[in-house]
Amino acid sequence: MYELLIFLTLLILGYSFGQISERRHYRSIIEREKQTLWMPVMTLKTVPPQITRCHTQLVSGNVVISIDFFKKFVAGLRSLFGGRLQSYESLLDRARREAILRMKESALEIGAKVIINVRIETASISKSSSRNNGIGSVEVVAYGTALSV
Amino acid sequence: MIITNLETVPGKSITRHYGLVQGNTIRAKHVGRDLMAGLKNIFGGELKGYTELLSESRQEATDRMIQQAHSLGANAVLNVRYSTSSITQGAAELYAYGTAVTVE
Amino acid sequence: MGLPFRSDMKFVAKQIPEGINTSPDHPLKELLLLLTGASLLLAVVFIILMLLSDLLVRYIPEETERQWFSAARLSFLQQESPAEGMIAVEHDLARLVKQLNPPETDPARYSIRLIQSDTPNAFITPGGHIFVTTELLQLVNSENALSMVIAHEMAHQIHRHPIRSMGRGVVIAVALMMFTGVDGSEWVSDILANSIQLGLLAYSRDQEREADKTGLKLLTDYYGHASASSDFFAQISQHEKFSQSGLSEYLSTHPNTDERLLFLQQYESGEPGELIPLPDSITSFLDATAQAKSETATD
Repeated sequence: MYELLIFLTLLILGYSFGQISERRHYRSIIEREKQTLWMPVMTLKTVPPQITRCHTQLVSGNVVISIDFFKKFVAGLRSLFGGRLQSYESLLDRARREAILRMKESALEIGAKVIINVRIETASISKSSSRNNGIGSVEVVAYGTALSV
Repeated sequence: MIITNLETVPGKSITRHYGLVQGNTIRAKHVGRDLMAGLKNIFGGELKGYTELLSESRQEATDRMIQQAHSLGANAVLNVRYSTSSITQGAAELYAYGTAVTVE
Repeated sequence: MGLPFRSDMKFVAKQIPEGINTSPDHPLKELLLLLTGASLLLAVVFIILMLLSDLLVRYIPEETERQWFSAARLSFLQQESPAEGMIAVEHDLARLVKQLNPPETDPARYSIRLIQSDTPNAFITPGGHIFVTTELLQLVNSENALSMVIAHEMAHQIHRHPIRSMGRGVVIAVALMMFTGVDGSEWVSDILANSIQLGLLAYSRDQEREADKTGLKLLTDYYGHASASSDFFAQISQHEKFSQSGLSEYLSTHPNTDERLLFLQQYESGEPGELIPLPDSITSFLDATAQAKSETATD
């Protein structure tokens, strides 16, 4: 009985706080994306023709985001049936965009105009550290070459 | 829409570029498929169910990336890369990203 | 090789619309859908497994069951030096079993044992081994009341409840292992396990009711009336008043004692039949224990 109560509390807490923090995060992502929209980020390796003499430097941005209890539970249920894990989609979407933003921001600091040859890596960390198999947090790292004139 | 992992489209040149586009999907396999896979693990061989699941998901990730490129008005995605990661046990995440451009 | 870019290539800064890499569905809607699906799946799996294990048990003849669970094989059935008077009591208990057993069936399907315990209890294990605790003897006032307890346990064996429950237990354990191996989140399997547990409890309550019914039939077939069949539960009910809370009915393996009491009392409502006093062996055994207790108390 107590277990069920604890579980329900965790579920409700996870849902409310998870929703709030996700919404807040998205707001900040969209805001910052607008601010840095002018900076091109490309996976291409070739230096754009406008840039003739430039300084290159490796820039990167990383982020670790954890999923909330509610979404984890939904995902667990989902794995009984298979199919799209909707609850993880937004987690990864947020993580990727955040990592790219941080990479852009660190490029901004050194006065870069463009980032080329960008690569994005994803890893799930903290596995088997807790009783729930420790799933639910991902690390995304984005890195590329910043070109500053 | 031209999707390629080349840096260029041969015979064409890039006139505009739009930056990074990406598509992702995360799929879980269901219990039944897992059981079959467990059996297969004894005898070895291809896990047809998983192959299908992963290629389906990869296709979806690609489609989402293309959708992003479309919304930007691009007609090609260059230097596309795929990455697969297992975020949770029993689920796989497929991710595709590339650079959206207009070629002429 | 020419340049891949046109020299006047320009960058178009455009915001990508939201919602391409995420799904617009509300998370609560998904939860609801999944919960319904999961409970349906669970119910179906549960029913199939139950039918399967029952089917399996049907093909195990009672003869085979007795061989598997023979007293010689099960070490815990072997008793170390029984206390004084217990053997005589066991003899009388065996006589009660023989009396209650309808003539067309083999009485060898049952064995009965008395065990030392401070809790009033009687139970049956696969193989037809009935156990009665010494404390239970304290709570019955007549042979009829004791016979009802024994008849109830015999009825379990008639319906093959012990081995059926065991079969279910095994099947469910295997099924749960399957689920836990697959699941990402252990909470889910916890809940599955709990709900299966609840299902099992409901099932075992049904078994108890069935055994009450058949037990009553055995009792009336022999004695010609069902008087005193509720005595034991009336006593138990007195005990429980002090120790139980309201929730326990739902979580208990047995139906609520008061509920059973009502059920049994229906059958007693006719003319009260003649009650047979407890066999001498039991009364003297009880006297002896009472004496031993008072001696230790004064020490």
